[in-house]
Amino acid sequence: MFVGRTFERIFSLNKYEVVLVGTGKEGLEQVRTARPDLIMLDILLPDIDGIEVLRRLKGDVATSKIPVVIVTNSAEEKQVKQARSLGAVDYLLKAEYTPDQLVEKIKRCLQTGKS
Amino acid sequence: MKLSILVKLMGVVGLVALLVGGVGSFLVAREQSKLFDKLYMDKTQALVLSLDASVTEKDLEDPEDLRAGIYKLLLLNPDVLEISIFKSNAGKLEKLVSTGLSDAEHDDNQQNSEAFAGNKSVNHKETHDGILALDLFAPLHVSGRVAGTYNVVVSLKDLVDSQFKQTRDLMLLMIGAVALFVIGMSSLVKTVISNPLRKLIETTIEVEKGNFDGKIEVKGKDEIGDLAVAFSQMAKKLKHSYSELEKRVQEKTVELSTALKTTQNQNKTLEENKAAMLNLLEDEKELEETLEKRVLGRTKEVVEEKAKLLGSIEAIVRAYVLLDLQGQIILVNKKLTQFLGGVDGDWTLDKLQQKLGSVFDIKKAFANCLKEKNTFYVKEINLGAKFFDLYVAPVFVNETELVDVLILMGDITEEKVLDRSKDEFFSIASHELRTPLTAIRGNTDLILQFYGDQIKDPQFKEMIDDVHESSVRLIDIVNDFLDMSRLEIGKMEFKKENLDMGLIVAEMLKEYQVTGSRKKLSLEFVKPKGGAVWAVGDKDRVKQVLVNLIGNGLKFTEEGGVTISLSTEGNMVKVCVEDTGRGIPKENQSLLFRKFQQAGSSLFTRDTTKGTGLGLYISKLLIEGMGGKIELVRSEEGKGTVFAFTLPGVDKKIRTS
Repeated sequence: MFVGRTFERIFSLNKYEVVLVGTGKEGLEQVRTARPDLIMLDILLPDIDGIEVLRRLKGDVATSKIPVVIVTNSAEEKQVKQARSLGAVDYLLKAEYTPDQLVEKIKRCLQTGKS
Repeated sequence: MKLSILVKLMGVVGLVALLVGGVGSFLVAREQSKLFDKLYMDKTQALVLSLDASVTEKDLEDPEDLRAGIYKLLLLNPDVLEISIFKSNAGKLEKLVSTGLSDAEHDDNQQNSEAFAGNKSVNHKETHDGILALDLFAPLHVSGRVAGTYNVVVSLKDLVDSQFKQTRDLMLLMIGAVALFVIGMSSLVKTVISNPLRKLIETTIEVEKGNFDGKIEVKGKDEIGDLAVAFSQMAKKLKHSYSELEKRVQEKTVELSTALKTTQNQNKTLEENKAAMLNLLEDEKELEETLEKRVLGRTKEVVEEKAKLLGSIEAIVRAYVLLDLQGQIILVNKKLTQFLGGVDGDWTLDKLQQKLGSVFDIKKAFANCLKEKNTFYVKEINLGAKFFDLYVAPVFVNETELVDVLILMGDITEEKVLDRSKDEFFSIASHELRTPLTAIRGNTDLILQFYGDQIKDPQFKEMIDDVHESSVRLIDIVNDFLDMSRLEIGKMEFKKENLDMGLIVAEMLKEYQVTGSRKKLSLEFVKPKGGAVWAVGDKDRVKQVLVNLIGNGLKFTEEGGVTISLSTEGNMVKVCVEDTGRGIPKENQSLLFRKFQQAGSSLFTRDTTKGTGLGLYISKLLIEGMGGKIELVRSEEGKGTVFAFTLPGVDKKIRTS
């Protein structure tokens, strides 16, 4: 969770409104009430894996339009392919970006996701 | 059979008499026959002549009268079998009148035309009913010219009959004379020759019995009398010779017995020789037995060898299938059944194919192996829960003669499972290692960025700085390690994207703009002439290599800067990264692309600020993974370094379409 908190901090310090959740189930619930502009999703989650969360998000009309960016440290080719085919906007490795770069990247994803 | 001289003599005399009689009567009969023949000939001639004379011009036109005359003639002369008259009509002979028995036989045109030419001919012939006849052809004269031909056939039957009768009578006469002669001769021979001879014979029999004193009473003064006297003398001489002979025989007997002894001695020697020979044979036999034992030994060895070979084939941890060139399975080991499950009866190529199903065409592989005479290797065949690898290899004798084909299958399920867990390890490790590091780096970064002015103690600030630097470095190391591992086991997948290289280089240079200006270094990009340069590769990986090369260039340069140039070389796109840095010592240049190699260091000195020493090694693996090459173009200490890498270019046709 402390990585999550770090991310929360990175984005809230950069003036973004952030809702942080700890599990896949929690995420799927919060999405309905929070109605975010973008979802950052990890693959390795405590309950359901991220790919499954992504599938459910895209399978639900209410959430299927929200752009999803996979932000993880798991870089298996299979997962990357799966995520992309399920409609993830991007697949980012946490460790490869400094906070500044990450913010920049997400900003760009928000623009492409909206358009 | 014993025939007395008398009988023989009489036989000879009789035969001679018969011969003389036979020849005599034959000659007489022949002479007679000639005479008759001539008689008949004359008769025929006369007939012909009268016929010739009687034919008139009128007859040639109207043969009715002529035919009547001829019939009359035939009636008067029963010997004449046939009369035919031919008329010449424009050189061709036409039948005018023909009578008689054998009309059909008249086709002898040769003789007929000969007759028309003036040559009379007379031949013997046999009519169709076997009667010997004279066949006469003659020219027909009418009014002094040859107007046609005749043919007259006259039977010689009466002639033959009378000849036969005469010959028979003659023969009977001769036989009677001979019989009388023989009887007379026999009684004469009996008294003059036969009787004295019999006496001689009787005496001879006596002599034969050993009685040499028999007297022969032959009084004749002829040759037989002389013979009897000579015989008596001979008997006397024989008597003498006989006693002489007996004496000689006795002497010879003594000689013989001596010779016998010698022979016996010789026999003994021979006997001894034979024994020696037998011994020799015995030795030979022993030798043979030894040989046989040796052969048995060898055979046993061969059998053991074979058993060892079969044992070793069973011991192989792979399924073993040996096939002949026709695809008949010669030998399999138990592993095959263990791997694929049992089959009814013996294994065949078909059954093997059935077991493999559509997963692998073993028959095709077998055919290919025969054709190419090469070993085929299939890395992975998935059958249900199991994984196999498979070799199809040609078996040679004397290195050239293809005799068999060998199929080997290995169960690689374990390795696959291990491989998977390795993959999982990398996945988990990368997550587990990078996650806390990301938190550390992210937080220190945030502290420095947003709370830096709150930190008054410079030492505290320095501590935060160190933690941040270390986390950054550690993330780099972990990333490098994971990349390297994945590259080394071939797990890295490369996308094949069409890349506008100019765009990518420009992007990279932008990212390094800050670093460059901080060190007051120039960053230049020499764009190629003639528009964009396209390459095929994985964008992220190409960027990774550029980061490494540009990063290195900036890191080791204090003055001047880094220049990147782009060019095409044949089908390849070439990227050069040139710096004006300190350069790489000659002795280290050859080791540059090796694992953990740092350009300026020996094996035992490491500069921890420089990086892991994996950068160039990973770059090399990445570029090679995308089908290109990376190299150190040149480097001079104090002057600078040039690295270059290539990537496959984009086929123009594909790009424009």
